[in-house]
Amino acid sequence: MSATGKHRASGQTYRVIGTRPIRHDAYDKVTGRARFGADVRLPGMLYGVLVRSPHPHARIKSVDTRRAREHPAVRAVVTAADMPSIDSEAVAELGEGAIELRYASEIILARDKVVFRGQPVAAVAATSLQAAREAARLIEVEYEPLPVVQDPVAAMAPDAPLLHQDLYTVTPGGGKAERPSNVAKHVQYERGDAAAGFAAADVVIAREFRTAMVHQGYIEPQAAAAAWEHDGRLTVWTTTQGAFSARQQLADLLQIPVGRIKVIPMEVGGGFGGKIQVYLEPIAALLSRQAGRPVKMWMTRAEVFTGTGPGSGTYIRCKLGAKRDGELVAAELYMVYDAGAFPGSPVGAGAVTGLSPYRIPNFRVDGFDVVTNKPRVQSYRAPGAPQAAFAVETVLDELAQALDMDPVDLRLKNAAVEGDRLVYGAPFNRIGFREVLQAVRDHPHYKAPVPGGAKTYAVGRGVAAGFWFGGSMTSTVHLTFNADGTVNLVAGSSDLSGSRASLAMIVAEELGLEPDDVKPVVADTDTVGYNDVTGGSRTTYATGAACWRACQDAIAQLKARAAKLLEADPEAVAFGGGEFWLWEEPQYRISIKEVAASLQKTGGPIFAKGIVNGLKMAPAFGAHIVDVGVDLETGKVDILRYTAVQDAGRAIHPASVEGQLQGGAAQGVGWALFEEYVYDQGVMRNPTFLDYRLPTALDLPMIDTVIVEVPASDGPYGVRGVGETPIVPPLAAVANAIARATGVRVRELPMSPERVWRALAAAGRAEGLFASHADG
Amino acid sequence: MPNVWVPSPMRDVTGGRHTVNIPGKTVREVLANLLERYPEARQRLLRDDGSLHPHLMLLADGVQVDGWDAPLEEDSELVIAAALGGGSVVKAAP
Repeated sequence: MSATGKHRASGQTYRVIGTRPIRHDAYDKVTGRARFGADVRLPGMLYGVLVRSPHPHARIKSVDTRRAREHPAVRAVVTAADMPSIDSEAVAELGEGAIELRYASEIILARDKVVFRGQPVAAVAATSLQAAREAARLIEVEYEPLPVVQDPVAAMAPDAPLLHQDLYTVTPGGGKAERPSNVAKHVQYERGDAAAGFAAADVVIAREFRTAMVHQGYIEPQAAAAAWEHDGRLTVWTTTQGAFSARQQLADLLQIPVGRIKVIPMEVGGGFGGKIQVYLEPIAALLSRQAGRPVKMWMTRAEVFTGTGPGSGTYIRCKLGAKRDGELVAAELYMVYDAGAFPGSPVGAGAVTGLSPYRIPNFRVDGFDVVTNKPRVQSYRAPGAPQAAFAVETVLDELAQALDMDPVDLRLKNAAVEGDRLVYGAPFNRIGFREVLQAVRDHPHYKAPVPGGAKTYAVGRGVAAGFWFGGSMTSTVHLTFNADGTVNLVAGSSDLSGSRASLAMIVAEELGLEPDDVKPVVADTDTVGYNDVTGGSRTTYATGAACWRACQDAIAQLKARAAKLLEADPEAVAFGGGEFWLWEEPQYRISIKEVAASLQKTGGPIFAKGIVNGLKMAPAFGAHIVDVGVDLETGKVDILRYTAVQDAGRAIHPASVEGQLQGGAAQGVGWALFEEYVYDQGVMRNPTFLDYRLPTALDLPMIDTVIVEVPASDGPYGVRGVGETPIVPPLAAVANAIARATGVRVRELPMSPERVWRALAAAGRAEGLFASHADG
Repeated sequence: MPNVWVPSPMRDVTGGRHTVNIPGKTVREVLANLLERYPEARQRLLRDDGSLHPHLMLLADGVQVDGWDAPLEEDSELVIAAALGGGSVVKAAP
């Protein structure tokens, strides 16, 4: 998709920022030279294969590895007995989400019982992949199957099968329940008096929603290689969103010092939150230690679906109350998020993002983190927020209809502004929600008449909005200078979407260079200072700020060198546009490239660093407009026109921002219309891309984009991260469009042809031969 | 003095107040003074080893607190809120 978006630029202009240079990773990726996780080749390398549980819930009675060990090509066999036992309640902070270490260990290799189908129970390493697979089949595991629970609401019932006998609900006040259950956590937020608010409302609408468990759908499966040296050093090559997070997890899980581990991040073929937690890395390491040789492992697509972490399925009840003029006065959310087999759904974020975009004086939010016999979920792009927005933004649309108001006007009337408090109490700093909604209202798409339909084809337009927090966390970058004036930018943030280009552009802007003069590298954990994961829409914001700070450090050092060359005091030297000059005699000037060429004779190399450890939140708001066509005979939904509007604060590389908006919208459309884990008694029935339906280019029109720029409160240029927000509005936007087209609300995802048709038939809106056979 | 935003499930210990003014120049000092004034909040906020419960997070003037020695100004706001990431469990029976 080429970018055709509008760029609503704010005042100040820059030389590099806001332009669209070719990305630094482009040539390697389009020519196949880029090295991804599975491209690692090491001398003497073995191939590792997992033995996974065929049962979604079972006690492990025995694991017999003798026959596998006798296989002539096998060099190592590991089970949970080879993993250090972790009994503490220590939590692995993943940067996006968290998990207790003992659970992370169980996900990697099950000990006494399995709690989801596909959970690894053993692994082998052999001299060839074929031999490893053959040997894996020789491992005999005896199971005692247990009752399965796959629906999170059913899992909350007092008589539901228990996944973990030692799981006690953490209550909102920080206490713990008296009896074990499948409810890991109950979060609660309350402000004002919700009951009184509803009593004072003129219109109250309450609805129920369900969303399916979905996968991030990254194209590159998980892959890792490990070499455990005889001196105890461990080197791991992996496709990861955070090399330092992977290193810390390895240290915690394998109980070895972090300084003995080096993680080398490979190119990442998509992550979206799913490539933060380690899966293969610890097993490859254990196999390597036992074999004394490097071991490489990678997953098949079916393993990715069943053995990694998807996004939560949810059950949500949403109730909103408004005055006749559209003022929201009360809200209630009851949210159940499916965590999969171990605690840790993103219900916390869902509970905050659902209502925070709007000023609502009285509300209560209850969120529940519930375990089921499915893979433990992981972050997926704005984790928790799309599901919450699906519920809230759909009910808002119904309110707008009930109040006979334009849905954008209703949102504008209630939109949060700077100083309004999020659900958890902290105030928003500068945000651009109103500006985004205004841009929607002014957009030609929104102003254009809704296209006409036909007797069997209804057309409608929907809108919805959403946001993501825009986190900071920690980033470190280094700059060194080459004699030709080019700059090496050493960063530790994995590049998922072209962030190297944006970071290089910031350096080029500050130093007065061209983007091509800056060579960005994503370094390993021995080479660069600590960096948190690439996630939470933080990289361009926080690592970009680190780049800006490194440039200020470099300029200060270079000024001293320029002063020597200009035979002046450093205080007498000014810098701008890539040149140093004397304040008093500006005709005496020297370029940064000339200074770089003279470093050796003016004092030696220069090393500049930039560190960011906590910027203010930079929330990014978005709103989407979508026109859909609904075939009343089949229930099939076509996306006819789509526009995504988002506040980027300041777009460093507008084409990258537009790509993020388009990509998020496409994933959101998939979530809305096609994607779901189809489960039957704990067994996923569609673990391939043939049966798990991702949207393709044939399903989508050109997605138009509008970048709004309301500068963030913190960091250089007013940049906001943009990656998460564009997946938040589409679920509700598509549902609202279907409702506007047909008059029928579908409140369960995905809105597949069958589900839409059944809803149409139940409402008497279906057309065609079987229209009166809703149950047939 | 800094203003502390108390999460709704803990407002029973502050007499229903959602904000309380607590003296202190750092996060550590404010928390210590908060617990001195409301001792029953200790079990809600801290684990036995004195660390913050993993289901909570602290935001000082909009920035998530990393170290407890983070400075606070007279007009600072310290928000105690449920952690956004993940769920958590208590291992042992009460």
